[in-house]
Amino acid sequence: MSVDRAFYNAAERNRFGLLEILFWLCPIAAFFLFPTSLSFATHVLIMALFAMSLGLILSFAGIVTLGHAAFFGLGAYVTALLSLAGYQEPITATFLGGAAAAVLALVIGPLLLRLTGLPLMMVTLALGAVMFEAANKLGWLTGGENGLGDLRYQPVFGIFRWSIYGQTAYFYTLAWLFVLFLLTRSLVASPFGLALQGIRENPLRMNLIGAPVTGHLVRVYTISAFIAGIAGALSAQATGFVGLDVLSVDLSINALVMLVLGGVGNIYGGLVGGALYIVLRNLASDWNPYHWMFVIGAFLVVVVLLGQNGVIGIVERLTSLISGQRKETSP
Amino acid sequence: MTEPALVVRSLCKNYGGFAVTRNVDLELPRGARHALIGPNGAGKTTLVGLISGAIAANSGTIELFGRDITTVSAAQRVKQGLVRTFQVNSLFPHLSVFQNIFLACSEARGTSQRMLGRTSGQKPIIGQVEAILDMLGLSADAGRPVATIAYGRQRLVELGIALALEPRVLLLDEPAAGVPSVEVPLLIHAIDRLGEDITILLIEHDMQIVQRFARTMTVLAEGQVIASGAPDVVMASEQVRSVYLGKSGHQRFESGKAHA
Repeated sequence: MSVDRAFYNAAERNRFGLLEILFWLCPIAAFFLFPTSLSFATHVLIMALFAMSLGLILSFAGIVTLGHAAFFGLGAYVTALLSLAGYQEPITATFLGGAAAAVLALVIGPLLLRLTGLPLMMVTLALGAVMFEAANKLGWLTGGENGLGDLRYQPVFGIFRWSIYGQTAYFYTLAWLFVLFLLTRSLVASPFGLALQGIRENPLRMNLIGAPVTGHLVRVYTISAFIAGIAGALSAQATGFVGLDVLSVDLSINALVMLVLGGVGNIYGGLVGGALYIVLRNLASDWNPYHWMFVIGAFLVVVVLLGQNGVIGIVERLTSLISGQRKETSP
Repeated sequence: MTEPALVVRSLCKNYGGFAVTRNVDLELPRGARHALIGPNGAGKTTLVGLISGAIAANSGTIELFGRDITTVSAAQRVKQGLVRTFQVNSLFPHLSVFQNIFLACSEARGTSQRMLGRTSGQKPIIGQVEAILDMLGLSADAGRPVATIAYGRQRLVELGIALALEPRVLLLDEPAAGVPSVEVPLLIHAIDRLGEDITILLIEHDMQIVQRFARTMTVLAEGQVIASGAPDVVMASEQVRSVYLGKSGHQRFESGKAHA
């Protein structure tokens, strides 16, 4: 019997099993099942990507931030401004949106990541609010409350046009999501990923085994910001519009709720939670436009009470019950 | 080439007006097996903190193989081969025994920078980790989270992490503290088997362990060195006896001898 990969790094448990293939068939199936709701489905994918980027730093490095929308928003505005300036090649425009967010993280990370816990949450919250207000005041650049509209991009690879039905946007977003997912998955399974888990568990001790703790954290923060920036860029491209809400504090907090809903500690947590949150919110607001928060809240309470770790935690418990392999858990 | 492994000169540490470490001098030649003893509150752990860089000294110097490291950070001292263990376990509780030691090996060799490639693919490091686990008798527990194994075995993991960092000078801060007596031999055995090229400073209360381990020793009391030298000479000293056992303890010790 071969040794379980999780023996070396718990994050290596994620590999292409049956469940994983089924999971990735869902967005393909959604394309055929809901051909008239593709712009909504694209929004689901974008939020899943954004939640995954937050999950990377929260689940694996223990960085709790309330300002992640800063990177999402920066990516969105950069890509939008590129389009308005006449630069409309879509793939590099998306990439540049992510790169701008990464540069911001690289600059603020070394200062920010010396903090942990509550102080870190407060400072990131403040930074997010500052970014929002700055975008609001710099109306000549960002369009202020009116936002930036009528964004146009060339066809992807010069072939696939951005249609009003959103097929191109959907598959373009799905492709980015999948590529960035593969990147994240391999990152957390690497020795670097294990070192991050060490920092999450005991940063003081990591320092005393000679680890560059802040250096490690800045690197993962930069990668996470890059992914969040890509998510923002995709939202600008998919909707052809960027408004102030891409920088809102709400967005940062929603991403945290998505993670808790999906499950912390697994890269699928953000994907599942992000998708579930957006779909649920949509269904709930159809049902009752005024009290949809009640549905989300009730669902969150149930998930937290039922499983130790979101929907992923519940699924894990069910599968282990079914297969009869009761895990040896700590008391 | 023959400069001592570790030299501490006139080291002082005050917390406000309270002197915890007073003018401590200590010299460990290469390959030393040196014990540091003293009553509770003598400042032993503070001294280890000062040497390892966790605490900044007020004055004095520390040299490692002839290089002044007084102002070098704790992490850099580790890189230069000065490694300590902790009196109270300070591990990665939810990671497995294997992963705890892997982390240390990985940092020591710079592998922790690698973002590509799975952890399970790092064959040289995995081999090194397995050798350490084997030496400490931890192989059976390798896959279990550290928080779920017995305290005595956690102490072995602590030692394993220190060894994984490829120490040239090893500071062992009460390695046997809290270890059930049945597991103490395992620990002593592991310490016995450490290479002669490693210079070791051991802080310990258990005199049996000290006697078995030490070739030289230093006695610390109220932050000062009161005796240093070969164990029999040091332990025979009147001053050490009175300080270490206390005035009344000393009297009891003497009267015990008289009754015997």
